[in-house]
Amino acid sequence: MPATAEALSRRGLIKALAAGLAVLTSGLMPSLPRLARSKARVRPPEGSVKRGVTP
Amino acid sequence: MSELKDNHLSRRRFLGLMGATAALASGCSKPDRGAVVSDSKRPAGSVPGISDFYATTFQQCLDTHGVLVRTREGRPIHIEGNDLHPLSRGKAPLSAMADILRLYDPDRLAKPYMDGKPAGWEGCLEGLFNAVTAEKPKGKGVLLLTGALVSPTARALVSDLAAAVPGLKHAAWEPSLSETETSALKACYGSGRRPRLLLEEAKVLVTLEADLLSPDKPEQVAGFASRRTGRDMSRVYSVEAGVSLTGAKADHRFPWKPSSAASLAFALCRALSAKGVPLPPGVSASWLKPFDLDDLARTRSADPRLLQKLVEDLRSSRGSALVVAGPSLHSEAHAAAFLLNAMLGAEGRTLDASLSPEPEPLESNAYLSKILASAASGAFEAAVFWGADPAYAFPDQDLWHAAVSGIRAKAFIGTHADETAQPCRLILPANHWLESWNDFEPLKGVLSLQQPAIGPIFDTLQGEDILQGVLSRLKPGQPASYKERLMARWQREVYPGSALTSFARFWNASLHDGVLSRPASANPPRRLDPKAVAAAAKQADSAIREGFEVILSPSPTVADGRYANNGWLQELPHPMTKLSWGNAAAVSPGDARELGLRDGSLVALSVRDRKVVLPAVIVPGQAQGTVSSCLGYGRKTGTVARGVGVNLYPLLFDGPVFMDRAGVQATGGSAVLPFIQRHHKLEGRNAVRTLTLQQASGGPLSTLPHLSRLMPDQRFPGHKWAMAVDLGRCVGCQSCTLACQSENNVPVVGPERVLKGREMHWMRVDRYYEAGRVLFEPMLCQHCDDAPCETVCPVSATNHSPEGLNQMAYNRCVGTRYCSNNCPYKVRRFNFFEYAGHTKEPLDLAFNPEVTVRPRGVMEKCTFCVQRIDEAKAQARSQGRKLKDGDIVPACAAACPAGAIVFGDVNDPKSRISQAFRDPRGFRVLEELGIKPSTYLAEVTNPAEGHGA
Repeated sequence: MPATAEALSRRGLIKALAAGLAVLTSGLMPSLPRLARSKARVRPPEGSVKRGVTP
Repeated sequence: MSELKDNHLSRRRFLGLMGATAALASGCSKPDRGAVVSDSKRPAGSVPGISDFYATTFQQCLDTHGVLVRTREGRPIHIEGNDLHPLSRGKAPLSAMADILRLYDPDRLAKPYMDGKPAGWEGCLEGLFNAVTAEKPKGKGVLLLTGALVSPTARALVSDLAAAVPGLKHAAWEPSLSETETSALKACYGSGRRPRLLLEEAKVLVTLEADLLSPDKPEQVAGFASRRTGRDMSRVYSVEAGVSLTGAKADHRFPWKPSSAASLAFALCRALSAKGVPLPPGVSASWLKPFDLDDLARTRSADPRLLQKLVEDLRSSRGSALVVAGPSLHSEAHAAAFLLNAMLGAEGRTLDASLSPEPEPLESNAYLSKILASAASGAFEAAVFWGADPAYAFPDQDLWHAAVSGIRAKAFIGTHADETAQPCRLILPANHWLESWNDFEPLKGVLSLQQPAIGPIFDTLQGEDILQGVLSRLKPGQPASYKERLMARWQREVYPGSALTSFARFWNASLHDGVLSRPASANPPRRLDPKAVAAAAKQADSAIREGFEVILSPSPTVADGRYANNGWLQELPHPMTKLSWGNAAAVSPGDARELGLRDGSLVALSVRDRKVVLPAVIVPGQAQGTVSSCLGYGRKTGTVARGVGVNLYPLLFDGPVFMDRAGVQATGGSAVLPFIQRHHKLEGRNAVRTLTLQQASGGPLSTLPHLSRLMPDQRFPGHKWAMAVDLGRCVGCQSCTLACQSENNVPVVGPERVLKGREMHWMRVDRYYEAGRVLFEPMLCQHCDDAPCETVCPVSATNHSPEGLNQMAYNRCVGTRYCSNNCPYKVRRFNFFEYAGHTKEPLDLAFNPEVTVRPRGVMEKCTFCVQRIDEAKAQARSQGRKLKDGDIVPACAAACPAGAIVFGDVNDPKSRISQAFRDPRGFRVLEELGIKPSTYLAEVTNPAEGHGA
């Protein structure tokens, strides 16, 4: 093992791995389109008559 | 790993830590906080995944149209024509289809405001009542300024309100509607009733500065298109300054200054009279002496032989000829057209005024000036503005500001806080028409109902309900709501009172159909008043005038500006200039050369003491010495509309009639214009084909069967879907483009990206200038049998279905754009940005849930509305039958008012599409490539003998 690896503590290794993973996940993973359900109210019309429904 | 072991970190512990780290890291990304709301309560009577349809009525200015609203899970998502409506006949106007976007516009007023702060309805209605009914000093009144009130029930409501509020002055004003035709009708016939134009009956059609083929007049487009194919096709002459859709489709077009249109019409009368066509009783031939056709032809550089041919055509087609004068002409031109129609026997054959209702009186700009001047001098204590926007569209803004400062209490009723809302203390949000009740009578005996397709999305009230609230406080015992008022009127005046059918059943049946036809007494026959003709002939002036003549008309997309905040309509290009996102001054190539103009050069357009600077666009066919442009742009409010284009209303002193002695000067500046189409010639390729009527009877056009092929033909054993576009019927109105955008969730990209050629329309209408004619060709994915896009996709994201569809797997596409590069028709669109992700609430409610919203980095294109194919298949399966021809209608075909688009199964030899494929006019665009695209039917023209190719 090279000298640099010897100097890396376990805590340091985990930190480095975590940082790398965080960069990978945030940077490479494309953000999904934010198409959550609209908060606007949708209410049926009162008194209207649909086409195809026997009046 | 030995070092790690030495540090007492086991492999199990290491993997555990790695997993925890990964979980932590992924948890650090921004969570989607979009609210997830369970649909635990299903909307009553609605089945998820199944569309509901509501028949209702769309009103724009004086016109009304029966439409059918498609809703999904309670949300209106698409609009088509009402097939049961005797006038609409299943076709919707372009504006109605696009106006669904305004329903969900994030700019809509969501709640009432008082003194600039949100307020409750109770307080606001109390404030309105107090403002309208407050004790006024002697001689002071209340101004109610509205747009056209076409509904008989709404008119009755306003009459009742005027009777209840002392000093209430109601004025209805539409800034883009010309009053010249109405005043000519009143002078010549004693009534302002506008006759219906029966274009399907017209063998010879002459238009004077008139565009009959607006996409907002689908019934006229249908009538016109029905006579543009077959042996008995019409011959169309168009006399106009700017190139209109009618002029583009005309067999002969005369570029003509509007100032001499009346002289030409009177000269045609004189020439017809000389050929033995009798003048109407009381009209003297001596009145027509000053108008000589040959003189006019000489001074206007027109072909005198062609004008004589026009006279001959009119003479030989008496009883099936029609002359129409446009709204930008003065009254005398309309009177001359009435005289021509009377001589040609058009009444009752190509013109029908027998059931036309008396039109709603509208105030002219001159009369509104008087009202505003009296307001400026303190004549009105309060004012209510409803459906009228003088702060944007009234030409004299100084007078408007003086009037506003002279009125103490001002209230605004509308869907958007437009320019007129700004100085108002009370801002009352109104329902969209898809949330409203109303009724209309477009023809005597045809009653059209408006019903909501959705409950109010915001905290809004219908405008009529607001006025009804004021009336109820003044006069107790009124109906509780405008809907009840409407029902009460129908029960009283429309319901026949049959013992067999209750009113409730009658009412529901009327709502179901959206329209009610009943017997009506016809108007008495019209008689042309010779005195009015004599007066018009005296006024007609054939002198050549100095300077430019300017014609300003409502935009074919955003109309008078009411749809300026609609992204679909802003991005839909002008059908002739192909300019999107703004207006420009159309100038002739000759004038452009003289003035040193190019497309985008800024010009100063001056009329009297007013001057407006706007970009120029060079239009072949524009009459020399004339400038045409569109109203409806240059708004100061609206996220989409603000700052787009130039407001030309300040030039309209006398309403939207042509203006002469105008000046046009190059300023030296220039603008970059977002054109959708940048190349205008066919460069010798026969991608659009035109035949004369004589040539159309020749052999087949297509050479496809004769092309030698290396590969075996593709086989489609079941269905084979295909489309044919009849260029003879297509008028270039672009209703198809808009309907496709609405149906398929096609995004709006904005002017900056249009400039980069990144517009997303799946279907466009190409416009070419060729041999002095304008040619239109709707262009969409051709679903080629041997599609060149499919062979180059490295991931097979685009491939062929067993039913002949060229289909896209969006989640497979990696965005190489090879397919777009290899498409000869350039109909593939790439999502350079996350357009859908930027959709503001509640605009996302307009999305069609049956069509995937495409993310960034994905290619998209026409699918032949595959969702409609699947829906029709499922419906046929559930009914235990096979699919039949006509079951599947893509959005573009359903919207096309001309009936130019045919879709179906070519494996069914009896289908309309199979017949179209066998039509000898059929040809394939770029068929020499051998990729087997869809079919087009060549346009047929009917030029006069010796005057066409």
